Amino acid sequence: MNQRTAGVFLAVILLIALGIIILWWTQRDGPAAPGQIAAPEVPRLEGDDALADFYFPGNGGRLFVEQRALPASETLEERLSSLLEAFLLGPEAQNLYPAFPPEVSLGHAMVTDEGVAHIDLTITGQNANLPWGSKQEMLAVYGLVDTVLLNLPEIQGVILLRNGEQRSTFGGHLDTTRLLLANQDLLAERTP
Amino acid sequence: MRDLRHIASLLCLGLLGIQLGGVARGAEAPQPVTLFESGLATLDIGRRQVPVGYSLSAIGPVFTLHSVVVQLGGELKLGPLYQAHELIVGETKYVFGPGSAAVTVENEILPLSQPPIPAEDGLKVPLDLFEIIYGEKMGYDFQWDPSTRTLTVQRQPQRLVPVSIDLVHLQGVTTVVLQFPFRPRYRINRAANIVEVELIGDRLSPEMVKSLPTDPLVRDIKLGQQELRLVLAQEAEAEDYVLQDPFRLVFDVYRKRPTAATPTVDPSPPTRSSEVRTIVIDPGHGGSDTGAIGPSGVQEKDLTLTLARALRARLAEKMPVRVILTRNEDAELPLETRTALANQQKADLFISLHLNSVQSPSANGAETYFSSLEATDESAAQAAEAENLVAASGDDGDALYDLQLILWDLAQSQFLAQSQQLAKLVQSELNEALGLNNRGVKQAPFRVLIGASMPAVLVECGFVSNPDEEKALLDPAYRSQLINALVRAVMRYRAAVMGSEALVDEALP
Repeated sequence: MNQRTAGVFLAVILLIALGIIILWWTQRDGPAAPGQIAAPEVPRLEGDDALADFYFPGNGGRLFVEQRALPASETLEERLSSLLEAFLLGPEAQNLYPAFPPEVSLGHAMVTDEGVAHIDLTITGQNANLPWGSKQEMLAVYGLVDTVLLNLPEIQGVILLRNGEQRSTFGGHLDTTRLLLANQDLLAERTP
Repeated sequence: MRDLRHIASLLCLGLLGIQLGGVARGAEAPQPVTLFESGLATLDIGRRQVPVGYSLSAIGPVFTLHSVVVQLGGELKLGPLYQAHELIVGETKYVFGPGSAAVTVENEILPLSQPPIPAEDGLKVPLDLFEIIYGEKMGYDFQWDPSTRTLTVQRQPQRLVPVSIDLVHLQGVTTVVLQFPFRPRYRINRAANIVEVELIGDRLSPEMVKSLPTDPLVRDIKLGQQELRLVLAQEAEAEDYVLQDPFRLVFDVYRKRPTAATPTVDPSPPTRSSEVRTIVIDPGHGGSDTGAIGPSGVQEKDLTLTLARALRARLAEKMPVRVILTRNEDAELPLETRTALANQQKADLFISLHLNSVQSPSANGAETYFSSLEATDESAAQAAEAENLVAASGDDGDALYDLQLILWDLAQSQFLAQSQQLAKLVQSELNEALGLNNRGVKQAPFRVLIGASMPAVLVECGFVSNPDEEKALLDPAYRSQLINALVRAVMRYRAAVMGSEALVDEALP
C-alpha cells in the first residue's frame, strides 16, 4: 500500500466515524425537538392495510405522531377497536411513551348514529388509582381522543368510560363527563 | 349560539326559581336523591325518648337535624332551602348544606358519608355529621338500630389517653408534637398566650411526658388530667394541624410578624365584594388518591398539603384574610366537594395546588391553569356542537348536572378575566422567583375548577417526575421561595382588585 492509498483509506475511515457520530448525535434525544421525529418502520401487514396516525406522549409534555399500518376493517367499529387496541399497546419508537399503563385495556367501543364514540377502558390491578399528574392525564386522554378523531373523520367526539362508568374524571383532573373533542394544542409539530 | 345558551339558561333559572335559588349565588344544586323509606324513628337519650324524622337513602339513614339539635344543644341558623346551614355548638361553628358531602368546622373541612337532604320537616343529615359535632366535641356516642328504628345517644366511656410530647426549635419556628396512640376526643381553646388542648370525656396519662428543653417561644407546657396547656411567649402565636398514623397533634409556634396590615380577621364569612377576604386553598389529591409519585417515592398529596399549610400561614401573616384549606390532613375529598365548599364559604379566591408529572423525566417548570367551558370562540363553537351531538344521540346524561354546568358557565364567565389575571400573576411570580421553565398560563377543563363561583386557578408548582425538581421540592428553602412567590401573586392580585398597588410594595415577602 503506497502513501496515497493509505491516505484515501484513512479519509474513508474518518468519514465513516464522522457519520456514526452525526447519526448518534441526531438520535440521542429522540423527539425532543418538534420536526425531528424519525418515522418508525411501518410493519408489513398482509392485505389492504391502511395507514393510521397514533399520538403518543414524548419529551416536553407533547404528543408526537407515529404512523403505522393497520389491517383494513369492514366496519367503523371494527376499525375503531383495532385502532384503540394498537394505541393501548403503546408506541414502537423507543423515544415515545405509552399513553396508558399496561393495566388499562379496551373494554368496549361503539359508535352511535350521530358519530359519538363510546370508549370503555378497563383498569385492573393496583393502578386503579392512576398516579398521574395533570399533564400525564391530558396526554393520555387527548392522545387517545386525537388518535380516534384525527384518523376516523366519521367520529365527531368521544365519551370516555372507565370500567363501564362515565366518571367525573379518568385520572383525577380532566372533566370526562362531557363529550371529548380533539385537542391539537398538545401536538408537537409534525415532520415537514 | 352562546346567546341562545344564555337565554336558555336564564329561562331555566326563571322556571326553577326557588328550587335553584342558591345555585345562582354559588351553592351547589343538590342531586335528586332516591329515598327508600321515610318516617319517624326514636331518639333515645338516656331517660328521654323523643320522635325524630328519618329517611333511608342508598347510602344510609339521615335524620332531621332540628330534632337532634333541640335535644343535644346548639344554635341552628337555618338558611333558605339550598343554602348553607350553620350550627354553633359551644364556640365551634359548623357549616354544611344540601348537595355537599362535607362539613366545614372553623377552618377545617371534613367529608360526610352523604350530603344532607332537604325535606318538608327541615334538613336531614347523616349520622356522621352528629358524630363530628357531638361525638368528638362533646363526647357522645351514636348507635342506630334499623330493626327498632332507634337512634341511641350515650356518653362515651372515659378512656386513659397516653400522650408523648416532643418539642424542637428550628429556624425561628418551634414545633410541638403531641403524639397519641389513637385519635382522642378534644377541642382546642385559645386565650391570650395560652393554647389549651382539652380532652372531652377522656383523661391524659401523664407518665409518658418527659422533660422538655427550654424554648424561646414556648415558655411552658402544663399537663392536667383533662387538658394540656402550651404557654407561649407574649410575641408568639401557634398554628395547629393533624398528622395521622400515629395520630399527632402538631403546633407550629412562631413570632407574630408586625405588618403594615395587621390582621383583623372578621370571623364571620364575608359577603362577596371587590375585596379579597376569604381564600380557599385546595391541596390536590389525598387519601388513597396519591396523585403523582416522584422517582424517589415522594407523593404529590403530601407535598401539596405541606405547601398549602405553609401558604395558609404566610397569607394570614401578610394580609387580613381568612384562609381555609379544603383538607388539612391526608384525607380523600371528592373534587366536586372542594369547590362546593369554597362556594359555601363565599370565598373570593380558590387556589388548587398540584404537582405535575409525565413519563419523560426531563419535563420541568410550572404552569398555571384557569378554566372555562368555552375558552375561545372556536372551542365555544365546538362545545356547542358537542352538546348538540350528545343531545341528538339521546345520551343527555343528567339534566340537572347539565343545567349546573350552564349555570356555572354563566357564573364563571364573570370571573374569567379575574381568574386569568391571577393565573398570569402566579405564573410570572413563580418564573421570577424560582427561575423555572415558563410553561405559561393555560386553560383546561379541570374538574376541580368546574363549579367554582369565584376566580379560580390550578397551579402546577413543578414536575415531581423530574428528579431535580423533586429534590428541590423536598428542600424547605426552595418551598419557602415558592410560597413567597404565590403570596406575592395573591397580594398583587388583591391590590389590583382593591385598586391600591401601594399595599403590595410595603409588605412583599
